[in-house]
Amino acid sequence: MSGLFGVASSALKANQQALATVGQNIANVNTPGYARQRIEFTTGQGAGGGVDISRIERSYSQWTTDAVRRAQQEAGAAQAQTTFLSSVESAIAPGDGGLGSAISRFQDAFSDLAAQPTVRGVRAAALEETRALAARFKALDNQLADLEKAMRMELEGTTDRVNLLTEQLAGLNKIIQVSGVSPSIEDRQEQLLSELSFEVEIEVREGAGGQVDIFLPSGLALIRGEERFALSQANPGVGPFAPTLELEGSGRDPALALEKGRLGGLLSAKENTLLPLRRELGRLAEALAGRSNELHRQGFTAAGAAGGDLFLGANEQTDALADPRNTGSGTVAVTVGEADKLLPEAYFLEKSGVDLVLTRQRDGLEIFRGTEADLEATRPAGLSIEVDGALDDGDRFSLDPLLTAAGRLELGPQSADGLAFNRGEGSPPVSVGAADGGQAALIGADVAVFATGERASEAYAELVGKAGAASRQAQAAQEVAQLSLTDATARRENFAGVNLDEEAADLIRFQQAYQAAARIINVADTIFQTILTAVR
Amino acid sequence: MRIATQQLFQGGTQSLGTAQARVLESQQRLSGGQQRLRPSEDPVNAETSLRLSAGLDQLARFERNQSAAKSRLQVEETAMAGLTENLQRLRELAVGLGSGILSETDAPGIRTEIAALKAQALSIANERSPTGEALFAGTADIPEAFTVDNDGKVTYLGTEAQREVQIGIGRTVQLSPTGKTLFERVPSSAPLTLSVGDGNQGTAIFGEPRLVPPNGSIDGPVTATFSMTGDETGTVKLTYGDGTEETVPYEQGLLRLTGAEVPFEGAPADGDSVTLEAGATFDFFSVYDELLVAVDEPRSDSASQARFQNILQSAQGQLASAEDQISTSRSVVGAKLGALDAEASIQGARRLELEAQKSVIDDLDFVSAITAFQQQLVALQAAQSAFTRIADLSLFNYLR
Repeated sequence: MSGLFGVASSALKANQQALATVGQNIANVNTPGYARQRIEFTTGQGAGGGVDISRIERSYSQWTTDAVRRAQQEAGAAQAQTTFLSSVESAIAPGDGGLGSAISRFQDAFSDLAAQPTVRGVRAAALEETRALAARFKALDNQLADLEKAMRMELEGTTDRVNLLTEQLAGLNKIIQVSGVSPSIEDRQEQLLSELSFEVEIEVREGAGGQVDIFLPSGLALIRGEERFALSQANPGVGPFAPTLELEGSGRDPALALEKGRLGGLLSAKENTLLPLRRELGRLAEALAGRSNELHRQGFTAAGAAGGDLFLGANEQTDALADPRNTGSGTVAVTVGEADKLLPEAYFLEKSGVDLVLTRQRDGLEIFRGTEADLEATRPAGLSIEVDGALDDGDRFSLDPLLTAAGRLELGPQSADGLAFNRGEGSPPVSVGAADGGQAALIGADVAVFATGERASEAYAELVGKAGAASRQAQAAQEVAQLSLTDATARRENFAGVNLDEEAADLIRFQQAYQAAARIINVADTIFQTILTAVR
Repeated sequence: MRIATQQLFQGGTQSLGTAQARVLESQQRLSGGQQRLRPSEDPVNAETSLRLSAGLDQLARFERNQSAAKSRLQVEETAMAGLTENLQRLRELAVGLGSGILSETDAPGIRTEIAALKAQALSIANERSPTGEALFAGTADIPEAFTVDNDGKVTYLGTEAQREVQIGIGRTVQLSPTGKTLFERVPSSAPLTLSVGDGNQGTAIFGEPRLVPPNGSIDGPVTATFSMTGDETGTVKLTYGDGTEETVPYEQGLLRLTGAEVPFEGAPADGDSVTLEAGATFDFFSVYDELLVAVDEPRSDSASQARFQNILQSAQGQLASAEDQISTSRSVVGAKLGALDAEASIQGARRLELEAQKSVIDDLDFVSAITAFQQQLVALQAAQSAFTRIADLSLFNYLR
């Protein structure tokens, strides 16, 4: 008799627990990272032992979880790239009124001036279009500089989020150390790891006790046991001589081999697209302004005076950034030697024995090796490099003269009277009041500004093409990443997520079992009453 | 297969979002009529399109230059037409003077008319271009190309360089000739020009000089001075340009010198001289002055009659050269206008070609775009109705 009571109460208890689990599942139907819990019944011990709950199982699949993390890393990189590269694209190709139309209008104005050099209004228009072109270059450079700044902010935000997430994960490791794992801790851990994967490319190693260690692709640890290492942005003043990111307690570059996650995407968008495009812009500004200035200086104003620079700020001397580890006292300055031979690159200059070696920053390709005098005479890549003072062996400098070149352009002549649009040929060579417009025709001609034969209009078209292609690539990567993330999430959810219909069915199932168990008690009670009556 | 409930909703909202984004993009494409909303949609064609635009901009620049050059050349043509008429009237007067129809009594009237013709020619030479500066002042930015002083002497103020305008790739057209070449240095159209000494007293009327073999040319100006010992006897001293002198016997009716000869009628007086010059140039406005001198010349006796004839002949020679100069310039202007039209039609064809290429890569294919838009609308509606139907499905609806 007591056996029947025992069986019934164990069934009541077990099914109540099962109903509670169903309730828990229904309650967490919209909780991100929640893994469905299932109850497992076993037969109770001994004859008439009733039912036991062996365990509450958390639906978990290592494979689907890993797939989600991988997809998150791709999606993080793609999202950062798409956002910034489409901004770069909009800045460079804003539809009408971009740099391309400013160049075209500048050429129009000087062509008109060549055809009608005596008309004051045409002269004024040429001056205004020159001003507009300089302003357009400057504005575009500012936009790109602002994007670079925005990237720094975004990088800052991303490292902050990484630090927040690693702190929480380290906290979970500590709890696991003290009180072991539970389904809710596992849910939380999985969710945090998935979020962290979106921010930065990581490798997760799970310990036996449920703790996780997290490493960057460079092998540096973000979390080891309960210990956590914070990421931060390095001081930007040292340029290419120091890594962009720093990791607490390590002198090595944490960004090494970092390609995925939002951090990887941001770094790659900056290094591979934004900076090269800004150098291209600077190169175009230097070449166009350099050629215009040269022609303008050969010309004569309406009053017969020789022309000055049409654009100020072109071919300005910039100081090369010295490596803080340099031991020599020498400095290096760069000017544009031949504007038409410039390449959109940044360089390292290193003293090596008696020679100076110029290498490309992008890939370390050696451009020039020779003495100081050779360097000044050769003008490698169109650059005129001057070394001042003594350099020690191994001293290094970073040369990036084109990065900010477009932002320096200003209008030269203060009024239309300063425009030197006359060639001043014939005899008398230059007479007051002569206006042949010959020099304006040369300035306004859409001809090659680069030694490669490329025109200014073509260089701009190429700039747009490059920005567009970079943005397109990022968008395509984003689409693929989004698809694979959706797919991986669907797999994980379909395995571990909650289906309300299923829970509804379980609800009915366990409810019926519970009602049946209650019925057993009722029957046991009836039997007991029968016996009592019989005995009385 | 299990489907998580969350997945059911997320999948639904995601496909709704995608369909909505597509419809919006199509709508933007249709309203702008553009194939590409951003360069990244087709970077290669975006770049090509910009290159084509640069080509079209350049053509537009050339077209503006052409129309500026054209309006200036048209003013120039009108000026040349005016000068042609002016010289025609001057020729009528010269012919009248030569044939004796106009006698000494007509002199005051003729003088006034010649002065008026000169003033008219000067005003044409000072014509302004459509942009306001003197048309024939070369590259100078001055209101008038010539000034005239109290003695009637005309001075050129402009430069010797010509304005040039680019009308095509590697093609330029030179605008109006300078006043220097057009008016100040009119080349003589006859190979040799003859001028008679101011103080000649004889009755010799000199004819047109001609070159003779073997030399067929003269070296520098040659002056022949007659030393007469009788009516038909004497010597002629020839002074060549290089300073060498030669004395030859006088020959009635023909003056011979190395490389050339000049026929004449009548007899020169002792001390009379003539000067021969090859490739001479003269001032356009001096034609009027020469003719004025001829008008004022008395024609009472045979000597003055001879002087009148000699001066008139020289003036007519200059007049013919001036007429040649203007008619040549006029045909040059015509040729330039023709070249402009030819260039314009070549560029018109090029423009059409570039525009066609640009249209292919830039302009929206409306038929396929509208079809795509319809399809996307249908897809969006389908996604919406499917979502509402699926969202309604729940077993809990049946648990009462």
